[in-house]
Amino acid sequence: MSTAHDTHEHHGPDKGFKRWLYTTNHKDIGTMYLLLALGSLLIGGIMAFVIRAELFQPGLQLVDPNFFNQMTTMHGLIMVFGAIMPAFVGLANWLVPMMIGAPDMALPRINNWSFWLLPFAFGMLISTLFMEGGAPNFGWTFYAPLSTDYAPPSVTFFIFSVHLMGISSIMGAVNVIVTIFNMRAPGMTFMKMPLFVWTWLITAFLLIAVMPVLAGVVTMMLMDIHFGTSFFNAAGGGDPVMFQHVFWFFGHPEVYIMILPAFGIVSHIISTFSRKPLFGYTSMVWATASIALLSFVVWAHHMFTVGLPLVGELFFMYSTMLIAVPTGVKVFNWVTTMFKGSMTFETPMLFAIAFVVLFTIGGLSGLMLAIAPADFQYHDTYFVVAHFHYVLVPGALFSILAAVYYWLPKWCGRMYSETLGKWHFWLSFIGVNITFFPMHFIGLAGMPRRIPDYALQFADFNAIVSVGAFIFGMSQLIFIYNVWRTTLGGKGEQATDQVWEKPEGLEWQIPSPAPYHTFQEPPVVK
Amino acid sequence: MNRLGFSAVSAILFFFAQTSFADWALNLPEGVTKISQNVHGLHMTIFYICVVIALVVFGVMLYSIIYHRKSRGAKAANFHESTTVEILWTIIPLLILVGMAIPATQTLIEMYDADDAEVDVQITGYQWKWRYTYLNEEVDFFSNLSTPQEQIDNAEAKGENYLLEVDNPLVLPVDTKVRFLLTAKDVIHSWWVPELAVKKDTIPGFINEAWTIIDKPGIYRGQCTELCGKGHGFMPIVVKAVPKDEYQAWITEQAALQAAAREVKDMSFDELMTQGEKVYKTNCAACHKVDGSGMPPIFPALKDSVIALGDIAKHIDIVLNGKQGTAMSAFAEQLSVSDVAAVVTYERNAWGNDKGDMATPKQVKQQKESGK
Amino acid sequence: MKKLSPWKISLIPIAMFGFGFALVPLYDIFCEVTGLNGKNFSIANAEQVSQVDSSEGRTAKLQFLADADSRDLWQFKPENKTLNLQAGNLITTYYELTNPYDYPVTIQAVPSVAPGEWAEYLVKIECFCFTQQVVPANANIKLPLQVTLSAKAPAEVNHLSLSYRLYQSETLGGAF
Repeated sequence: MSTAHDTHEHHGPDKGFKRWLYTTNHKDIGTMYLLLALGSLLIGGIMAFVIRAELFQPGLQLVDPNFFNQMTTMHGLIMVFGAIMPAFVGLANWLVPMMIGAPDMALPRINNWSFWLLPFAFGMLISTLFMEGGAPNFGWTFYAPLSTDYAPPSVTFFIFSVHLMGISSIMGAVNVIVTIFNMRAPGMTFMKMPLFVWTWLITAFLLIAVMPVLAGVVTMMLMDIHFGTSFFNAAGGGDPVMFQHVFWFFGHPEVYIMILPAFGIVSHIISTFSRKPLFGYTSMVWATASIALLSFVVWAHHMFTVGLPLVGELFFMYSTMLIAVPTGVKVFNWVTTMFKGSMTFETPMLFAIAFVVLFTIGGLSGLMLAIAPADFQYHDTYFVVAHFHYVLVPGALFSILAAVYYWLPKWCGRMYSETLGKWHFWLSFIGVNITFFPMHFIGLAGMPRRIPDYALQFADFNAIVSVGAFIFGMSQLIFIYNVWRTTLGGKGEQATDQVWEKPEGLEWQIPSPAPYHTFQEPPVVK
Repeated sequence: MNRLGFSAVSAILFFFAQTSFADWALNLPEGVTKISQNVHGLHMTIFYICVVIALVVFGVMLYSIIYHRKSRGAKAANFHESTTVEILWTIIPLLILVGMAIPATQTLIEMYDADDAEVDVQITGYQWKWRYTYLNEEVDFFSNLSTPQEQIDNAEAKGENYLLEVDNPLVLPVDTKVRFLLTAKDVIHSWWVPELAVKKDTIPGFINEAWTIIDKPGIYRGQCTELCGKGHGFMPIVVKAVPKDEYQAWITEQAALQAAAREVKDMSFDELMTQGEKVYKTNCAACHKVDGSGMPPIFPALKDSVIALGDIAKHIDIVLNGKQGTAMSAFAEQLSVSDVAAVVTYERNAWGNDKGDMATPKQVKQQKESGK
Repeated sequence: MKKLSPWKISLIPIAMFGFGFALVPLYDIFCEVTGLNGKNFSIANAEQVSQVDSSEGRTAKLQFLADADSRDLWQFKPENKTLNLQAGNLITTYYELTNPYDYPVTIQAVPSVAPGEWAEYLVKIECFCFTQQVVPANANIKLPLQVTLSAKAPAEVNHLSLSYRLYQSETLGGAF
């Protein structure tokens, strides 16, 4: 980074669309990622509405089964790859440089390209809805041969879209790693880094390790579909189960990629609002690293019913149970941070506390799923749908919302409306539980996943779930209004530099709103 | 305000701990096999462990939220490390998990032991139906969803076993070790009957093994549990468990019935139309609709269609062999020659098509044997 | 501070992309080494079999299956539904099939063994699945199979199921 820019602080960002197209500024790019994520959340949310509207009652009322399968597939893809992951990348972009006292990311132009790949990738993915044969309809986990021999023609665009998203993620992750390794302010040793930086560093390593494997598996699909190979086809000596092994080798670390940054965020917020240092910083770092490492050896717990040999089934059962230990340590540490603190309950803290409670519920249902013989009853039912929605929605999504409330005043210089924030929180909290808690019951009662219509004994709970989904979905409008109002709308109290009461971290030592260029001179960390 | 939230969650968890309610089923069924009951036991054990952990964790949180709040004047302590505590809450959960792993391992080992079975059934998953082949007998049949399309389309009231009923259930003897050999024709399906606690994926080109011993006679219903295309939600499983002698009688009867069905006999126009309507509703209506209007362009209409009103050999051909590059599969394996003759006759004369001709089972058999 | 080069770190994603593809042969190797796979029966020759003392008494029941589709279209069925395998004794059996078409067809039989853990104890000396088979038009043929039980089979191995599915060689991508 050139220090000659010191004297150019009056030189602000370009005006107009060109600013956003060419920017290499981490704050701008962070904003774009977050907006993309928000857009994806809305699109994925509309698809969820379609799904829940059809499932509101038994019988086929609104859509045909093939379109329903397109909705469930696209909902999953857009939420995972379009909402959650870009949101965390957006937060990384905004926060990591500021937290380590760096002026920007290590590779600013790659940063720009990483972002701009995504609208193309998602544009292509969404356009498949309008292609002949329809969008991908084989589930976001796209098992072969449903996704190879029996796929609609749009599968090729799906594959291309996944490749683009993968390249974006990999480049972004390389960027994060190099930034954190090379650009920490003097005095900031690894064990002095804020936990959000740690969790993102570890997430970035997971990304560069497994996104290429996803690229590999979709390439193998492409080759089977178009070039006559038989990776996943018994006729040519291949094996459909091979697909699952390779996919889940990516897929399991992927779900940790979607939660580790959340762990970092929540650690910051709980500590600030308890007015107490985070309990057990060192063990939090070790626990995160253990979770990441263990995530590589648990993948076949997604495949317990596929016909694995007994030894394999036992191994994966044990390793999956084991991963509960470091996760539990983290939960205990958050609770102990709160214990004997002096807490206030502003909106970020409300979301963070709800995260701890509801993520724990999701984690505990995950522990139940780890018990392989019991999993024979849970696998591919709504019990699994309940589990992963708990860890992803009141888990990852709540942490993202908490992060936005927490850091928005720093980004734009104004306080969001606390009243609207609280309304958003409570309606979301209630909505999320009405939507996803009953899914445990219908799963146990025997309702499979990915079906557009169901037997009568599942009707009552399904109706409740659909109502909850509507409440939850609509409450997000409050959030959007609040954010718009505070940023573009210009409303809200001026924020101080500290914003909150004595938060820790370098980002609170710069003015609010954060200047376009910050930490041009690295601060010294004691 | 947060108190309410937590009380609500705790209450729901307690509520959940009760045994299952009748219609608003909350819990896994105990089932009718020793394995299913073991599994239920494991499920309840891990569930209770989870409840206890949750109560402890949430209890401490609730306490802090009430008593350690700034508005109550609480002053924040400064502690942020304790190696002892950290070690304790790593070791204790680890021990709990080891304790849980032992019975889980035992049950899993039992589930994998398919030795000494008396009855062997090969289960093949198709898009979108199941096929059952009794390996030591001459009994082999398809099991289709029998819920009328009208009920699915909300034109009729739904029956009690909506979406969980089939034309030909899998009949098994009680108190007998039954071994399943599972595979699939096309994509991955999964065969699941909750009350037997048997779930196994069916992989095209490979066989998987599973087994059960059913303790109680009765009817047990399950569903396909692996996304397999548009009919995934419409291929249920019905197991009818009967006393051993009833099973033997049924086997003998089935073998005779199937031999008879394979015979090629003459059928009248009316017989063809009646049988044809049944075959059509079971196998064709899901795509081509009960009234023959289909869903063009993917599922062409049969009413006023070129094929239904055209050359009868071409019509028979497309039913037997499907159409490459479309969703129309080949029905030669699934339908007997009289079924094919019947459904072709029906399609040519229903919905005002009134072509006036008919296909005979002999004709279909000839066409089948002459090749593609 | 030592600088980490972005080029160096980029080696990891490149290596992992290769690793994804390497998983394909790696699985086969893993399955061979551990014997954990329903595909992997063992192969031996008649010499080796005759060297095993068949009075050891180790036996297992072998069940022969033909995939449903192959049964329908090709009248593909085993000569015996089950046979008793014995270590040291070679058993010759066959599968029968009829080509329903007026033209010759090349087929590939794909085997699968259950339970997968015991697949390695099923020893094949000769199998029609080793190579593609050309079946003349309308012909009814017998496809030979020579099997035995491995001498290394532990006592608990008492049942095996062997299933074949036929695929047409021209269109390896699709089944019938």
